[in-house]
Amino acid sequence: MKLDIVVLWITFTTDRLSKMRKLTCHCGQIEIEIDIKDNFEDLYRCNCSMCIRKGAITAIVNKEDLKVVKGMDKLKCYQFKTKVAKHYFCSNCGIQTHNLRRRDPNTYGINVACINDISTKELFDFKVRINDGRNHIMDRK
Amino acid sequence: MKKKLTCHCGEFEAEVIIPENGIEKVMRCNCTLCKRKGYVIGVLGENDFKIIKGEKLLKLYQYYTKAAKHYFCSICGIHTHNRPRINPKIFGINVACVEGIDPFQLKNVGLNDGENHPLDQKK
Repeated sequence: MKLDIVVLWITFTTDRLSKMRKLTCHCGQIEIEIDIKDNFEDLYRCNCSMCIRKGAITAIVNKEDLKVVKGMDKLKCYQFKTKVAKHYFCSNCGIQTHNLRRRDPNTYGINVACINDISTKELFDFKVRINDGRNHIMDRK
Repeated sequence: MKKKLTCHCGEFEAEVIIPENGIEKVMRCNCTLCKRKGYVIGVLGENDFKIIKGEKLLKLYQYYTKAAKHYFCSICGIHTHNRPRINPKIFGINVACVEGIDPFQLKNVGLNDGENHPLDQKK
């Protein structure tokens, strides 16, 4: 019986660890580790003035589940308007890797296409909703 | 018709010529770079793109064969346009940067198989 519990615990832990994913910009100067808790169940593209230009498919992760492991000094941050959100991109290749979200600054939006172990087919097969950032909830009266 | 193309911060601006019926060829691309960029590319001829301001703020990114030129704004990081490897004379523009174009409303967005680029295939 006790052995079953140990096996279950190991399985659970391994499963959790297996969800640590590596995310890189294109040139490879930026490396980020993320812990995705759901299996990319809520993916979106946003139509706000910034994100529509980025074009990236975005997933949300908790702030503590994202760690820049390489290239912090190569990351550039861009802010505008309320300057709550922080949009990070690689200063060398320009790839937008992640952003601190205005809606909830305890979370990051990540560029899903930068996750190394997602195949091109998987990426283009994902179901992606449109987020109405153009009419941001925090700008409504 | 002439339209304005801008990055997000507005430091870079170009004038583009968009056909009355919209850009004929619009697509996403699945190559290692374009999939990360994520934007919808519109293909414009070599005379349909003119830089108005901010050229010095543009950063050029090249890799692999270094034939293609990928430009982004060094302030806001928005990729505005590229000169594709398949024909470096023409322009691939980020359609979302063009005033009045909503990429989510475009009906004819194709998928370019940049992952298997024709110039990388063995003869």
